[in-house]
Amino acid sequence: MIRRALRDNGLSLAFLALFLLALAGQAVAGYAQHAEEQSEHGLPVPSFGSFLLSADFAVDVAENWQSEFLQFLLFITATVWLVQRGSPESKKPGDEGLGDEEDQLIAHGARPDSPRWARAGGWRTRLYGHSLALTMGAIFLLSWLAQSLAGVVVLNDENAAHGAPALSWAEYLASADFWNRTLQNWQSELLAVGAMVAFSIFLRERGSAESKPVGTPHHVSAEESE
Amino acid sequence: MSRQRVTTGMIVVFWTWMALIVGGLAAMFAIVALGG
Repeated sequence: MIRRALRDNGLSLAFLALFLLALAGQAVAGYAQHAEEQSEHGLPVPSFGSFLLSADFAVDVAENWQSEFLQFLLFITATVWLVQRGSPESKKPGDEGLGDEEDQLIAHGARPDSPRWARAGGWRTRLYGHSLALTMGAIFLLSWLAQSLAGVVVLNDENAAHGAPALSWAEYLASADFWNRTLQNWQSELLAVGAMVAFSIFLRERGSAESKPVGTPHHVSAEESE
Repeated sequence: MSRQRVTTGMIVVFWTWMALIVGGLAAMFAIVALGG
């Protein structure tokens, strides 16, 4: 029973374990770096516990969170309207758009075992039909807001140490620090997503859900097409 | 054999991730609200 549950959910459980390990590693390395900088400037070194509850740690976590959720938000919504011929991440050319009730198994096209809000029609089906992008988008915006709120605290601490004036939150939104933190994460996500779409036309990973089967012709886009 | 129903594990996994992210965001907002 437990063994079966572990196997059935192995993908999300493995990523959960890796996430927790990486976050713990980031906390330890981030604390070591923060403690070193504090003592170099002759400032008091906080405890590990208070570092974990500091804006310094929060801004580093939040700036990476927002970019990952933006990446998925863009990928989820862009693949509705744009295609890449030959990529398993894409629908086939000609299939762009929202699809009809039959394709999407909604309202009159729903199956008896379709989710209740897919069968319901009206606003519930419209809302449920965008629930993934809405959730990823909300997490993106909240993470980006958290990054900005923690980032201004960190920058103002540094400014205070150098006798520079403090910035308001609105001023911080127009600052080089905010956009440097933001765009350095966005560029890497966009690079990796674009490369994945392009590379997966001609390259294969045997057995991976993210790849076409090894022998699938290069021109075939999604697994079920043609 | 394919399992034709939602299992407890699927529900646990979904809400664990949701709680992790909502909890993480709430913690970050609490940190900045309390002065970071």
